[in-house]
Amino acid sequence: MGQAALYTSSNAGARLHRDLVYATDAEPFGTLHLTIDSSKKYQTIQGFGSTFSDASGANLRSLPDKLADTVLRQYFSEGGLNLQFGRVPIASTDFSSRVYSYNDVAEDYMMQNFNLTKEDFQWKIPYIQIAKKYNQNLKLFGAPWSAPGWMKTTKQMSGPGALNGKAGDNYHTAYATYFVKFLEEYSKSGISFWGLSTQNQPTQGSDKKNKIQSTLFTAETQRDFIKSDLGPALKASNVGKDVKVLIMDDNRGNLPKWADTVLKDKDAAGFVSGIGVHSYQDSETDKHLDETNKNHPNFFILGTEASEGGGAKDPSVDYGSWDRAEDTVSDILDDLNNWVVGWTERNLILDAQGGPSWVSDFADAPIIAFPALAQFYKQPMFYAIAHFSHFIKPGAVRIDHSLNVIELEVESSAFLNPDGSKVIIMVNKASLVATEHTVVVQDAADNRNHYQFKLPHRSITTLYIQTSQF
Amino acid sequence: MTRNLFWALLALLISSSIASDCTQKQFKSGIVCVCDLSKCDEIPNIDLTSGQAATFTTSNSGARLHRDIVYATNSDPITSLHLTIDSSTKYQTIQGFGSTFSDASGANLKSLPDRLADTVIRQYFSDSGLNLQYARVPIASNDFSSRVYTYNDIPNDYSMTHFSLQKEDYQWKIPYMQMAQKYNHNLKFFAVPWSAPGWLKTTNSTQGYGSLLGSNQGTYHKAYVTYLLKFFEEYNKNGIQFWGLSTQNEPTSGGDKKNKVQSMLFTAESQRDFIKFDLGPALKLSSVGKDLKVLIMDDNRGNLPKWADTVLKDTETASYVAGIGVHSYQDSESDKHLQQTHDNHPNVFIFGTEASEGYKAKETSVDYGSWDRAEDYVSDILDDLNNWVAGWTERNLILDAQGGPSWVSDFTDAPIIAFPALAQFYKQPMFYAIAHFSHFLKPGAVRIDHSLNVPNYDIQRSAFLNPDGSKVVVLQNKNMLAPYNVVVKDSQQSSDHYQVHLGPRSIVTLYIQN
Repeated sequence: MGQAALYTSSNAGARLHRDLVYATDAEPFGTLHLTIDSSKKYQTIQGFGSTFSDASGANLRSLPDKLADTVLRQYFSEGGLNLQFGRVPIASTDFSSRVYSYNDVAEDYMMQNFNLTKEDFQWKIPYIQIAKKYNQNLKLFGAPWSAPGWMKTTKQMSGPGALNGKAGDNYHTAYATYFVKFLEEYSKSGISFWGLSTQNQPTQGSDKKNKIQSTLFTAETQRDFIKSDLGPALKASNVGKDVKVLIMDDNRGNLPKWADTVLKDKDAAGFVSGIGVHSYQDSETDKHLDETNKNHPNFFILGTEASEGGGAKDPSVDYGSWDRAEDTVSDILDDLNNWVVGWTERNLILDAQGGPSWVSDFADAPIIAFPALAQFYKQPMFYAIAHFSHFIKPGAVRIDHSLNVIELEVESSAFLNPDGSKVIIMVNKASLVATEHTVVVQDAADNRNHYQFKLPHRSITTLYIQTSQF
Repeated sequence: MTRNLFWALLALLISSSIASDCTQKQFKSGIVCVCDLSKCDEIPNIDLTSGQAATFTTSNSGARLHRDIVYATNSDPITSLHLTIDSSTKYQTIQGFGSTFSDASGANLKSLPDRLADTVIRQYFSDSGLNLQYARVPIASNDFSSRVYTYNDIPNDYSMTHFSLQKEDYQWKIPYMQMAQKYNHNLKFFAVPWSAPGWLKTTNSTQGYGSLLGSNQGTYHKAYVTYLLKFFEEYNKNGIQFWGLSTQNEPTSGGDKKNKVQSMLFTAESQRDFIKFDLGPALKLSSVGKDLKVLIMDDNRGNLPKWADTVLKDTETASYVAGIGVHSYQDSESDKHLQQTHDNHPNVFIFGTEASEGYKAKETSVDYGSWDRAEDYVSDILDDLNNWVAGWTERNLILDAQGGPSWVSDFTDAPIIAFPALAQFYKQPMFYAIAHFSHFLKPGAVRIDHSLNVPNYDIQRSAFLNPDGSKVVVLQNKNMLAPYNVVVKDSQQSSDHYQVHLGPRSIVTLYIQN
């Protein structure tokens, strides 16, 4: 019989608390029975990630070197969150301390004045290199928030506006060159990229009230840009030819329409590998994701941004918030249960204000820095991510799972790792002590073994079942 | 002629206030001023010839000590509000304003680049900045430390052979106190303990409630006095001398069983006896202690005048005491508490030793740009100064975005907030609220008589005469929408009328050069 362990985190204070769970032949008592079926496989899970924002780098740099290293080890080593992905902004975002692009010289279509900035050299590259030390297979994907202002209809990098002209013209060609130059310059620092998102939240670029750096693309103009400019430029370049192109990088409400529009065009589709999705419309139905997978089964859907605390009425940083950890688990479960292959946090580490952000777009983060005391806090959200990322190995597949009764406060998912071990993640959102469940897990493909454990109120559990010999 | 001049002045005021007085950053509650390695806003020079006056205006809409010249006029300009000051009727001497060298402040200063930490200190202590004259220095740890410690945690070491200053003193306090002294050679430090070492207390715990073990002149009391004297000796070795000693921070909170913070209980009676039998005599005999000004109470005004009456009624005790420390947390209580105290003890000064905002459980600790908090500060300071108080001290120089560090999460707001990741700091509206007093009232100024011709609850005010003969009038308009024009006149020089415009939610200091 395969030995198992239960890892529990709870509002009451447990943090990945480990208990052994022994399999039993006989069917033990339980208030909830979860049947998994490791013979029914869904999508491959590629992994989890976070973002090397300027704000994260600034905060890492404000800590003693040894402590900054600890933060990155906590995230990227196997002994920690084992993150497989790193999102890297291309020039400035809301989580920068100023607005800048890599080429603010107007009309320089050849990008001769392209240059990385001090933010790259002080706040991004050093920490990407430390992360790669901990995970040699770390997959980086770049994403621009906006093209340089002079290329936009508004002439301003911050705020709304689309690229001037149309696909195939000098602006679009120049912008594609800009992407390639980004990859080339990072390559000179020994950093190569796995992927490239065409545009962060392209739909935001039409919002006149938006102050943040953005560039508008519709599904149609994104399709055309990839087909005429970006795709070919990448394929023709050494640094870009193997880079996986992601489309959309926006909220799920845009699906499946966005994917249908872009990928219906065979030429565009030929350059694309995946669809990026953000977590801010996760209250919308799962059908958005389901349909997208049905229409485009050969394109992966990757969660590329998620965060808490961004609402105008919320405190940006809410120390010890269990609610936010619970939301994070809910979101990840909802995504993974509906064909998404991975999930990426918006910032590695922020300060006590939830920044820095030049536009005061403060948010919460799994780690908060306190340089004055050479300390950092790990929020409940950090552990929420760990319940997935530490246990689900790259290449795992989601497997079938069902509860015997409808229990609205309990959410779950199940996975089979490449080595045969199984991972079951559950969250109990009920707040009364009396709502603790005794869960019995059984694999329909191996129905002798029953695993029984407690799922207390306001808790997250990961049951890890080691591969059995038999 | 006068009417045209009035409109011209008004137009000048309006047009000149459009330019920004600092690098602004807007938040929900209001505007902060951002300082970094390349720039930090400074207070405009007073720069006036004899008889000339200037207003310095700070407002919710973004003015920050914006300077405008005001010309005296002979005739009585048109306005319904007249503030008459009388520089021949003098009240108390204003000794000055201060802040606290808490461990948290030091930790935050140290997290900034040296040059920026120096800017913070200069903004507070140089005469071109807040010109602070006083600095409160905790004796060992308090709620604004990152851990609980004392200078001698070895039980029963009554002779204090194991007394030692801590890394907090050497890294977070002394270097910045020395920097401040560089900017103000006359800076007056006063020390204050939150608690004795735990082994000297009834609870055997430094944090939380409890009182000194034993009785007057007994082993424990003597040991504690030795402890306090050692503090001054050790600081003296580091080149720092003290002006004063407060006997105990908030002695009344030492009786609260729910209190987690370092504290120690004294009643007015036990404080009186401690000073009379132990502290007073020992200070007089020590070279570091004999000239120290001893402060009593260091607690909220509700305890007055009773606390002062009890301690000072004993003439022997009174001979050791120079002043009464008062905190700002019961400032909604009647001014009579202060008035009566002065009446009963006119030769003992009353000094504001702690004030802060954002400490309440349901409040946001750090509220960026909060005008409300600046307004509260001005109200509090005016209320104190109008009722015999000789000075006012802020609780922390600089805190972080969380309002700490604080080992017990007792987070609070501060006039300056540090952002080490960006090598920046924010100056809150509260910073300017203090500046409206501390920059213009020179040490040795006296409060003078002032009265408004009609009752007006929106306008708070006070008036002062500086040693060099210049006069300072500080006004606040709490009205959210309505501006006011106030004509200020000195009954001693009744030909000169100064017209002051007070926008809604604004603070104005009128400075009349001698």
